Amino acid sequence: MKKRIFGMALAVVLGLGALTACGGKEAPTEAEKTDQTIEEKQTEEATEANDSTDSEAKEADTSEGKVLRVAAQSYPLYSPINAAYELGYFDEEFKNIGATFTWTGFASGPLVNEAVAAGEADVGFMADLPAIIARSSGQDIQVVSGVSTGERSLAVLVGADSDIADIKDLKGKKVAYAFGSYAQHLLALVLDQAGLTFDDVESVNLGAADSPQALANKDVDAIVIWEQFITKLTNDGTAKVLIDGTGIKKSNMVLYAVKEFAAANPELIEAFIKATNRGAEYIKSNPKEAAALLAPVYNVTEEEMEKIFGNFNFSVALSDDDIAEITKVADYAHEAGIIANPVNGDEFINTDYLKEAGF
Amino acid sequence: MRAKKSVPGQIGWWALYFAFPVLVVLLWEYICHFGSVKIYNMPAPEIILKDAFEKIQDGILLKHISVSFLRVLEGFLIAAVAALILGVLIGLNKYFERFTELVLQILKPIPPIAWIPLAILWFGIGESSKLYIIFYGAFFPILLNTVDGIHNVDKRYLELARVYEVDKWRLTWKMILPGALPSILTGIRVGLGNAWVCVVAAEMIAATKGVGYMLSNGRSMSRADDVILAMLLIGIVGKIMDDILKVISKRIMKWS
Repeated sequence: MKKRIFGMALAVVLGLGALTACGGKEAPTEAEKTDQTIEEKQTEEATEANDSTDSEAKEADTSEGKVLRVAAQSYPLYSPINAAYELGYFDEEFKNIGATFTWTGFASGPLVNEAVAAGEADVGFMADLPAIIARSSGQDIQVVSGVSTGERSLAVLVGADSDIADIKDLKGKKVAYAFGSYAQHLLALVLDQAGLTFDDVESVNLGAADSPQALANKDVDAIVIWEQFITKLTNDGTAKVLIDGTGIKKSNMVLYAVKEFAAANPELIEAFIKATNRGAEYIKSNPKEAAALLAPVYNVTEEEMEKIFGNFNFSVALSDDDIAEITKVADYAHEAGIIANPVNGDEFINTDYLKEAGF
Repeated sequence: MRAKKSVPGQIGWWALYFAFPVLVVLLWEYICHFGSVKIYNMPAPEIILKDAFEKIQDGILLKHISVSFLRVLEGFLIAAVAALILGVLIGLNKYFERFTELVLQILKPIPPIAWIPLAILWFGIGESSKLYIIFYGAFFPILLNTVDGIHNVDKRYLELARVYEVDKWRLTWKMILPGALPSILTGIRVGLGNAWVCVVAAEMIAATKGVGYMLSNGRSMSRADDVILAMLLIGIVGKIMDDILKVISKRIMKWS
């Protein structure tokens, strides 16, 4: 609906329609929204010969026919969610409440933010910093659950034969990382420990997909990157770890939801959390099977996958410590000028859904 | 604008010129304040202006523009020289044309943005990969217009020249190139325009400055105001560059 209004506005701008066509319409009403979700459910059922049509009415629940639109990513950071998806846990949890979900994959947190901003998705998961950036830009979202933490899952890598042995040696060197990603925060903390600032290094904005190549080609002296790249690059002899986040940064991966949507459909958020938790438990109790399941998803070997699991703590829970960590990241982002508007950690993180789901 | 008009007529003429953009901005304001668009999806014009002023004060805006401009100029000049030389050779020699035709025709439809992965592998993430993308964007319009221009030189002049046994160099310099000049100049204008368009794609490769960087960084940072500001800059600078080239072309056409 919003889209349509916007499109209409554009058409007017282009001189196709009358000036009065696009009035001050309010956001879509509840009725319009329900229309939309029903439409989507139907198309979902039409395209996916899913098992959700039979015996839907197990419980006479209010979530009957509702759809959760998930903006997903596939990285080891989100192993519990990816495993739960592969194992069909989401299908089961949503079937239990008579609801369904749609699943759209994205390559990075900022792209998920875009989809949510465009009103195309209700929940997304990513690292702390990109979620904070989205909130700061004015998107009405709330962190509703954890996914993973891992101090060793984020690291500064240098070439295997590099003579950079200390963080101080980074002075004057070229360091590549994805601007606005949580890697930038680790680098800030690491530099600060060594008494350096961003002015002491030459920063290069490079996505995770291009960073390994740049390091291998010696286009840059160091990269700040996360799993699966740390394990892959150290295993194949391209790189060594200069320093990881141990004792410096907890690296919280979080699930966030559009606030209004979550408040209106808490049972969908809880179903998502439950499925994620089952994924986390599965990995913990069956690491070998989980590695075999997820290795092809992330394009790593099973041995690498097991090693990668070791660098993470998979859990949906958000402890006081986690909340303090995420708040710290938000404060840093504002002080460093990465975000223009401050983000209040307490308002941004809502553990009610976790509690309702039993965590 | 070109027609001689009375002073009030001229004012009206300019008013007509600016009426549309003013209307667009007014409508934009209206939608942002009274419509249902979210501020993070469509920031109001004054937010863009504020963003622009802040960046002008920092000096960062000028830096972005000049970095991009120099990149474009460099890539464009290399492309112009290469395309002119190759264009003349192809235009003058039908065997060479036949020889190169298939490869060039296959390369031509590949958009510069498709070259980004290879450009990174071949040239790294530094300046050369960006120049390559810009070069590629500028090269084909200049080449094709040069070849066309030469082909369209009136054959009777060439016959005449052959009868009078004018030597090949003089023929090329005195007759063919001047005859092909309007087409070549068009190619150069289109080429420069393309080069400027490609700077956005080029600066998506690990840049730290430039309008293309500003745009992609705005995207990563959920800053729609930065994105719109970068788009406007690309449009405005592109228009000014085209205007300047138009004037230069006219001058050149006059004395040749």
